[in-house]
Amino acid sequence: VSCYYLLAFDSTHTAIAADRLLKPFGAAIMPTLRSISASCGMSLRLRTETVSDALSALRESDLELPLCHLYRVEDSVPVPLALDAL
Amino acid sequence: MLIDAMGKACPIPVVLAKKELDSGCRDLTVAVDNEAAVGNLSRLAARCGMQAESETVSGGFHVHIFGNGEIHAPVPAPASAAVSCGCGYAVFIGKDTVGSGDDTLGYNLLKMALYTLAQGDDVPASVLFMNGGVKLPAGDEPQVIESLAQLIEKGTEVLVCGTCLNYFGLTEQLKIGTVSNMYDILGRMQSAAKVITL
Repeated sequence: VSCYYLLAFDSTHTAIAADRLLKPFGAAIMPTLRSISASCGMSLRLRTETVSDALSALRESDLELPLCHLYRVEDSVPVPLALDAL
Repeated sequence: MLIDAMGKACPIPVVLAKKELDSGCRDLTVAVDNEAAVGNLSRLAARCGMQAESETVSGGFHVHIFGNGEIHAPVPAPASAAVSCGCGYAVFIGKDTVGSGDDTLGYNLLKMALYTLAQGDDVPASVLFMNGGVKLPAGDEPQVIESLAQLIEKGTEVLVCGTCLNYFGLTEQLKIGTVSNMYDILGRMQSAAKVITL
């Protein structure tokens, strides 16, 4: 079963800023899954091993957290999670 | 098992080979008369997790496909009925952005495009980098290098313009792909059924 975490965004500027911030944690830019209706088509794929550190960094950053949406994706099915769930 | 695909236009050799592989054959030889077909059959084998060896014979080539692979590769489609040769598709990347308007956005769109290509089953026969595009395989972006590595693993050929690497002083920085030239890069475009320019 393939499983990963995904951050979707309401703003492309936030997505690009988050990529810059989370690159050290192995984040990768990917298209937003069709089943997620965030307004921006750019998402970040987060590695299971580093997701919790990445989210800490995100919460401590000056990015607008209400524009960021976390999902756990299992077998291509996204399940929404709170940003502080991990 | 021997398939005689001499004189057959692309994608017929690949279609014939895949039909046999789909029906369970795990050891077959395809006789073809052009090098593009050799490349296409080798990529089919790679995508199916099988091995391919080719040898030159009188009037063409024999491609031997063997191993224990799972068959899941889609057969490349010809660009249109009017095209009598060419198989698979090439992706040409001549700058380090997709489109124009904003370079940061364009660069991130390109990263996303390479990721999406690498995740799919229908991977390109070749990805061709020229001019500013060579900054991607010679750059420090782990995501780009990882996507290109996945494409190569799935059978895509990654060619990088050597003249362009030299111009930008990036020859020593190339992380992935094969240093190439105008002859080979144009040749891959000519032998593809279609070329996508990002």
